[in-house]
Amino acid sequence: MDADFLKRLQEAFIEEAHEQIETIRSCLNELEKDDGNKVQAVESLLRTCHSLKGSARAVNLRVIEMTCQIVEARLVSYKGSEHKVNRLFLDRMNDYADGLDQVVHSLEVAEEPSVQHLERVAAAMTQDEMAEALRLGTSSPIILGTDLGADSGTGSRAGGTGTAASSADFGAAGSASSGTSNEALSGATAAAAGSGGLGAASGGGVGAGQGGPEITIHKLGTSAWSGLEQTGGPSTFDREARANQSAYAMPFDPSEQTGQYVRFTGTEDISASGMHRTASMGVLGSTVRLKVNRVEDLVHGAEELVYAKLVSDQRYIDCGELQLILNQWVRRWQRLRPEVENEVQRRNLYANDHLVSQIGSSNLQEFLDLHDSFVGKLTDRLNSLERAVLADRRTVGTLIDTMLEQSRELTMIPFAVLQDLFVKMIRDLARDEGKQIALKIIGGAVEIDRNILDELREPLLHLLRNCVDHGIESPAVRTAAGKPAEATIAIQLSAPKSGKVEIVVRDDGCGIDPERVKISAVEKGILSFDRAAELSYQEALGLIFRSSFSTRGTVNELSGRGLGCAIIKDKVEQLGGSVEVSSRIGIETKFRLAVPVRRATVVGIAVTVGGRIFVIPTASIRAAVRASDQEIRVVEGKRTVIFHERLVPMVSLADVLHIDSTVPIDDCTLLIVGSDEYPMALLVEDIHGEQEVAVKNLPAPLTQVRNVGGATMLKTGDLAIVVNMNDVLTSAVLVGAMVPVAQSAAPRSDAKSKPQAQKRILVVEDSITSRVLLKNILESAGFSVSVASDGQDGWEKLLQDSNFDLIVSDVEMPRMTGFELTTKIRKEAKLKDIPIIIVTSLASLEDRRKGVEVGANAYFVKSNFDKSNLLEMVKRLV
Amino acid sequence: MSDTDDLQPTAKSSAPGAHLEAQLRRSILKGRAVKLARPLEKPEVPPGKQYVLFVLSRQLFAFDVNYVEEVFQIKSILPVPGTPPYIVGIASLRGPLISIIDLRHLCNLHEKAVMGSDKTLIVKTSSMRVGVMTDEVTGLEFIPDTDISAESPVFSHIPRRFVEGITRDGTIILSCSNLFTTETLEVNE
Repeated sequence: MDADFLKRLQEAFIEEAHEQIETIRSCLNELEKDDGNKVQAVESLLRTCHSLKGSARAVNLRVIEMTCQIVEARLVSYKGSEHKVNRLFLDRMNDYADGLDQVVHSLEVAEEPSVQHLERVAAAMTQDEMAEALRLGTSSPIILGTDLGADSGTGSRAGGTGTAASSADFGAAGSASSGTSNEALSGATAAAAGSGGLGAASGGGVGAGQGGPEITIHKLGTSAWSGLEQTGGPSTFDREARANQSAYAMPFDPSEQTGQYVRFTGTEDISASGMHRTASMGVLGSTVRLKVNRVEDLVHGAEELVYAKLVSDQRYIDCGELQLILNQWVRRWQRLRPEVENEVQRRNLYANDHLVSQIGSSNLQEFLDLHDSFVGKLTDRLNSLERAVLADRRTVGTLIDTMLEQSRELTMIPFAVLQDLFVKMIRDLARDEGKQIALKIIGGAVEIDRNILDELREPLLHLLRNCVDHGIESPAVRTAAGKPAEATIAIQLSAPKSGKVEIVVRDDGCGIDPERVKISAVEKGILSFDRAAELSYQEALGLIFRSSFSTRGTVNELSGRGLGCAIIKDKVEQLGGSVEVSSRIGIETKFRLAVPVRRATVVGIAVTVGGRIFVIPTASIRAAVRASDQEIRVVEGKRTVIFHERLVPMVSLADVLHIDSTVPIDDCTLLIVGSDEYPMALLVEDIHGEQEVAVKNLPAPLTQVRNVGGATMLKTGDLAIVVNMNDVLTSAVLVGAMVPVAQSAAPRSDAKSKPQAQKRILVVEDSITSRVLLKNILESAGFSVSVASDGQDGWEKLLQDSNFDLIVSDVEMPRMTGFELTTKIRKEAKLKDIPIIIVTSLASLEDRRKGVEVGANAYFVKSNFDKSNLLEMVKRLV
Repeated sequence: MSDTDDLQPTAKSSAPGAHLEAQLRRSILKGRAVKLARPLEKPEVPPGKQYVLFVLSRQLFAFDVNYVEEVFQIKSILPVPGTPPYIVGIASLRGPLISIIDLRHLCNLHEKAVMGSDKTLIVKTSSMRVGVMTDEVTGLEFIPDTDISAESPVFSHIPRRFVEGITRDGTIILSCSNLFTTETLEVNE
């Protein structure tokens, strides 16, 4: 087969396989439920496997074909019979789905298809079959014509539908399967999942209650697609398909295209009981398949249309200006007119008296009359133009607003799409940890903007991981405590109110013990012992959201370094939401998230800084005042302003952005930003109007630039930078403190052209906030700072460029810790003499000793962090 | 070849010496004919590529034409605060935004005067599309591989991996695939 054609076929196969795998998983979930529609699930599984088998054959994926064959054969025995699907089979089927995932995924990244998992599953299933056949004395319908190592001779080998596996496929799996075969045999013959180990291993499955409607897919006929696809699509497939028909069946509909699909379903109300039976597999309202990127393009296009509104505004203003100019002209003319007319009269008379030609003056008279009527017409036309522009502006505004709303609706998807992901993760985790967990999702029909949902995925996964790891006890502990061995995690969504939806994640595990949390916080240096003792129950629980936090002594792979909860809070707040936690010890833990359902348009204020225009999101600004009206004082070397009877530190945005600004303070405007607890006065040169802003991300290679949230187009058509206020607030704290009170006469030199004789410091730190803080402190003190985002990164940078005068490094970092980095540095000839300061939140003596042991020159604890101390030490060591 | 026949002396009946003379004449003329003859096929093009040539800090550079999408006249560039010196800013390329690069900072070229031209080369590699500022875009040229040498003291100040080679007349050929990558250019703080 032609290589190009095979590639296209493979792409189409991958696409289809994804869907098939999803269907398989949904059906399996159905089978797991007590009240699920099992008959239909089995039928659907059969159909799916059969179809997948065919497609796999078309693209030469023998392993998939083979395994599907085996699965089909197994399923047939369950079809329409009294035979109940057992736990073992479900586990195998889940493994089968996992195996398929692996193969498809490896194909996607264009590697060799990674088939070991699937092969093992196939071998295991065959074992099961044989074991069962042995037990029941029936003949096995399994098709394998190969030896399976340990099992040659057992079971019958009935000829099947003619697909013989080559021994090569299963050879590797042969030895691996002997392990599972024991399991299979004992699983099949053991009466109950008695032994805790086995029970845990194969019983760590998940019962998933579905809260969402069944997702239905409608396939449109080829004709409906022809208009949507470019040439070279279905028609090419068709032709070539027919040409190859004799050699390969084309089981999938050639109208299916590559790309991801967005599925639309009818929405469902959330019933009072909260639990949903899945709807029948029938139609839930008509549905359409579209490629995701097309929908996104449409939404982006709609957002760009906002400019049309802005531009329209501008035209209206232009009209007004034109009218003004015309009016001025008319007024001057009115004043001059009598004089001119007199002059013309006089000339006429003169001409009469002296019998001189009157042509000149009659021309002049004509012109005068013409001019009047001309100006009159112009004024009228201009007025009607203005009215028309205003009317258009209104119409366009309404149309665009409606379109924006509708397009945002397009990207709303039900929460339930995350279901399979959660189910799989919990199942795997439960199995790994030997726990038994059931996951319930209630209210999955609630629709949320897909981008928001995308951002929520990671935090929720973290949350669930935390639940399993820290919350849920092992079955033994649970039964000892009188709880059911199987724990339950419930994710419940409530109907959205005022644009926000509440997501409650509840587990019936051991709860959070505030005392342990407090102890851990004190140990980590997050707060002092006294302060910790004062905390209320709620406040203590809230500590888990602080960075570098984990009550587990050792670094636990699952929950990272205890940052799981802090990440959740950060992400959720970034989305404009909130999260809180409550718990009852020994009974339950509840995380309550509130997130907006739709993305909001950003509205921003244009300000001038250093002569250039920047846009600040209005949501970040609490007030704006004129600097000259405020009382500005110097307190402890820092400029502050009195605002509402409070001392608010003042910082110039120009300084934060490293831009020159020579406008005297009195002419500037102050924007009050920040939070209630920590307000700040931001100095900008001038503010202009407010406008709707479609923020565009910075283009490659500018992945993330400090203080910059993106760029947008202003009404004038010029580009402007949109400021990231979170970054600015972080940077501002440091910069503001460092700027000398007296503004120097000479403008501050731009950061880019610092003199060469500067000392160079490398900051190695994985937390962006800390990195920025350190960089700012050091740069303001006059050093040239480079950054690295973790130990490995720092090491690589040092290898490339050993010309640093000092290294400041964190300890807890992924890939390579600060201690490891220090050890490596001390071993490297070029680098061993560079002084190293370790900055971290670990406060124990043990760690300090370790720091000295590996060769660090100084050790700083973050909570004791005093800028001046750090700088002193830096200056001493450099 | 019938010409030679025509050029034979009409007096065939001359002495044996005349016959010799005729033969000599024929061979001379044949020799000339062979020398003047052109082969039927076109001359072979030596292996090489098309390059876009441009001037930067009074030095001629070249990019493989396969990486250059177009030459665009950038109207205005918006500086982005807090970016390294080689990022001049961002601009709108008929809608979508692109970053504008100043190669002088990447290649350690010294002249820091304002750019001579608003003509920007839009370069596209597998990782990004960026605009490269120039002092002048001189045009397209075919450079055979044999003209390119890999080593030269001329470009010792330029990081080695950015340079593919230098031509005999001093045009430095830059490697787009090594220059415009995430590793080299990315700003991620």
